[in-house]
Amino acid sequence: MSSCIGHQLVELLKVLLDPNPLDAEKASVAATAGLNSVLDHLYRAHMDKLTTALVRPPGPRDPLVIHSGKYHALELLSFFVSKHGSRIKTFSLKHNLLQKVSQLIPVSGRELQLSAIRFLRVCVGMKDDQLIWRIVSGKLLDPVVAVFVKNGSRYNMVNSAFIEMVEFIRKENLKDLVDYLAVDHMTKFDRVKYVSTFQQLKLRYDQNQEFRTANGVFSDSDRGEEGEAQRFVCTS
Amino acid sequence: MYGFVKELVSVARTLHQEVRSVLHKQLAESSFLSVLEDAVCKVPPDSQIYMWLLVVDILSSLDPAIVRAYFATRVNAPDSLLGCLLSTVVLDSVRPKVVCFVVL
Repeated sequence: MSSCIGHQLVELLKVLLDPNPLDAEKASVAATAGLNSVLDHLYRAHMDKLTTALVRPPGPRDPLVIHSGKYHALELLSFFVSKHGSRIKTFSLKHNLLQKVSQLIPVSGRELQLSAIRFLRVCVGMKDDQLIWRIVSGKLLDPVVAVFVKNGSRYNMVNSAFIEMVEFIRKENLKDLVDYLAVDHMTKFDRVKYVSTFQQLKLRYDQNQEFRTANGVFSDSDRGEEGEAQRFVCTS
Repeated sequence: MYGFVKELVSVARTLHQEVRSVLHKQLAESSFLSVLEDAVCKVPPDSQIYMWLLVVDILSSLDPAIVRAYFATRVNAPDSLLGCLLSTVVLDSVRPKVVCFVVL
């Protein structure tokens, strides 16, 4: 398949599967109902094509083959996360989609890594407790941090994407993610001085800890296994 | 034929909204989308790349509501247009082979 068709198909499918198009005011009730049945059908019958593409082993090295299938699948999945609400959330929790995407990062090329980071960023951006807890409990940002650390201080898209994600987590004070990054990875960020994001993340973590101590509130990670079990009961 | 239809829907973009909607509806009612479905489900993109490009252009030019309505009528079909598009989008790309002639 030519790569130009792949990009065009992704854009076409985004338009066709967008439940809130720009011309929504013109959309009739019947058309909306039709789209719901299409989305039901999509999640029942076709989503496995996208997830299978993500875990497909790379074929033999061929200079003529561009492994763009995973990239396009990720682009579509990122779009679905931002647009399909509870449908994609249920699907991703049931099929361990976030783990699959995270596992792609260490074994992929730069483009695919960036696309996977964008997918995780969209998931974080939803600010959904269950998705965030899945990221934290599975330590799904570890591969992203590893890529960031390996990249060093080179200024590129991977570097910018990760810093932007951390900045978002800090600004929105997504406490579970702040704790996870601060506790597990802060030593790795100590060397990064060219942006203040990580110092501010540490500050945010300290503020959260002070608040918890002052108010007698404990995070699930403080509670240990009991806290995790409670969270599991809530999310399952 | 696909080239003609592509030109037709491209020209239709310049029409007034109401006239364009009527044209798209007429095309949909004349089983036009099932012809496109047959084309993309039976022919892999590697063998007929030009036809695929035309079909994608045509689908992009049509009113999305009409294509969605067609998708909704085909939810129980084994080879639906939506399924074929999704199967194709996850295929890996192949660079075109470039043959160089060296003139000595």
